[in-house]
Amino acid sequence: MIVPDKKMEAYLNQPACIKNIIQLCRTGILLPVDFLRAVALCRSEKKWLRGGQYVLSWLAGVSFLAAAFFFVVEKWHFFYTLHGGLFLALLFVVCSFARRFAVADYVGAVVIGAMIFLPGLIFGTNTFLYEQFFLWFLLLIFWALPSPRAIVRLLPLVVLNMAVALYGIQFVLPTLRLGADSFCALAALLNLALLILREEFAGNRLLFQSQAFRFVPLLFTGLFLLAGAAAQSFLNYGSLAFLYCFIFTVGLGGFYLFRHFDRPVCRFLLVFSVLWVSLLICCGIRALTLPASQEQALFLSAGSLLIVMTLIIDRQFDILLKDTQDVG
Amino acid sequence: MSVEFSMRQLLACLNISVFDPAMEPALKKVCLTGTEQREEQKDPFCRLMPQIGMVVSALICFWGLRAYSLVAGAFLFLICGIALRKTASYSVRYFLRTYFLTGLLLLTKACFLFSPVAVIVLLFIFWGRSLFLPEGRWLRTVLSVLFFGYVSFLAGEYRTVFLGMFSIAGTAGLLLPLKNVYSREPSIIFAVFSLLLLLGNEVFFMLGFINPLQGSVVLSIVFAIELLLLFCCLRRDLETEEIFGSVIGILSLFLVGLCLSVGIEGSAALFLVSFFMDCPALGKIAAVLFACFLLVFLLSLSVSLLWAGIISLTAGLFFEGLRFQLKLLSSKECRE
Repeated sequence: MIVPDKKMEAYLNQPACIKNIIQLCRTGILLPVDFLRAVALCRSEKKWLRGGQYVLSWLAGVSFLAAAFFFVVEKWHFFYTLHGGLFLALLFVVCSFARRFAVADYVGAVVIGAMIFLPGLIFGTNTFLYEQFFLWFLLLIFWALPSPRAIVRLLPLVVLNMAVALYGIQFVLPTLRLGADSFCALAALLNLALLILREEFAGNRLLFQSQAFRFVPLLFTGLFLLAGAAAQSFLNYGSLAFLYCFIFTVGLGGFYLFRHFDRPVCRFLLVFSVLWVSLLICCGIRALTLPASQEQALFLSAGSLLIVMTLIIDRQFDILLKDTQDVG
Repeated sequence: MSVEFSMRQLLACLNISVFDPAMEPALKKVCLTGTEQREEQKDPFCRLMPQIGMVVSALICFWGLRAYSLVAGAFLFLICGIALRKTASYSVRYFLRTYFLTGLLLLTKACFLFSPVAVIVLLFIFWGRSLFLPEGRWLRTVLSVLFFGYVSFLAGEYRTVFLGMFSIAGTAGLLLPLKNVYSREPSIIFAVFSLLLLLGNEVFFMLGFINPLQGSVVLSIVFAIELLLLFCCLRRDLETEEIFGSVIGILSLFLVGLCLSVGIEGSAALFLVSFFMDCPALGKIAAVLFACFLLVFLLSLSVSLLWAGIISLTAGLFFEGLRFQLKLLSSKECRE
């Protein structure tokens, strides 16, 4: 009879897991046919039941959405009639009373939009899309504020940004009131202003406490700046304003992180910087006027190097944070 | 099962004595491997996202340098391969591994013109013993992907047969881990990639780019065999009603594969395998594949919008019903 030593004791006392069971099979301690039996002894049924419920709820949700889509498209002409409008209004009333259910909350927000867009489609009012989105944004504020769900409370911000983007595409740019880069910079400043308002005045209120209210304005700021820089680089590459924009964005992001350190925002800034640097590299390579194969080789190699370095920096930062926390 | 077992208790439940002298060498080997695995876990780049990032970066670089495949491939392969043997830093190893993979892909592309089989043989010779050691996980993954890709590409009209063989080999490898065989990574790749390739075929066929895959009946039989294999592994611990239910379940899934979509049967089989071998990541992949196959099947039906809506609504009610059953089961488990 053998007496297990300290190392073996430590091994035998550790919790059983799938990796250890596979090792037992590989060393011949456990027969292959006993593998599933061993796994059954340490499987967490609760975890699988929870996971299964989550997957099934997603599948059911997508199926119901698909069914709603097919029925609405099939009966599209119904909504062109007075009965259709009444149906939507009735649906909205039902959603208002049933708001404690998430489905009713989301459907209500969508029905508001449907009730705004349909008259334009039915009666051919030639209303601009951005005007309809601005109206949707205003009405959504009244719907979203009392909602207990952060996603619904964020919807007005998302719709507002879509309205601003459409305003630029449909009105400002065709009439040459502003250049694409200036318009995008102003749209980015709007989101930045909303973020500062949230941080300075509304951060303590329960309504705006979710991290998404910090992340989404930053995301739209970044997207508008990126769109402006991309538009400028294709229209007028060689301009230094592109570089200044990049330095401003990264500097602002760094200042924000200095004041309110947030790991997801940190990662977002890293991804954003990678996209900016990719655009810079693209402009630089185009300025060299090389053959197409060499341009592609340079750009894609530089892009690949950028991704690898980003992942290395991200991981090293994680290790540094963990070490700092451990020391703390 | 809510009680956490220790390894000692697990071995006791399986009637394996830790005091048996015949077990001593094997137990010592397991302790050693456990220590090595804990050392490997210290590598911050061994997680899923950095691994995906490595593969994506390698593919992007490969695509850019493919016009210079032989020169760039040989350069990267040699320099990064030699440097990998010299360095111990995790970050540097991660960087070198990425471009070693790029070099490998470029050389593979260059050598493919001469003989695709030679590439696999050369890699076996180059990596040799490392493939059969615990730390050869990364090498096994790369070789499995390349092998799967080559065979699928060269299979031609026999692709269905090879997909079936890969799928069965993968499932058998997952359900029956053999002594001294490190087959987990190849098994997962073969089982999952077969379904991915099948999904790709179905999507492109639906879009009208290619002809349908021939021999879907063969695949249906293959997935039914996988379910039978799972049943055989569990048979000893099943009661009569459970055996009866399993047989009905296997027959139902086989009919679903024959009449509706073979991909739905395959992904359901993979999900069941992942449940019984307690691999949540594989279960999630199987669930996503199931949803994709179901969607492709619904979109490929030649029915009116109204019927499409009715079918989607029925599917939604079915899933919601299943979810409710699981919820009841879950609350029963909590009460127990």
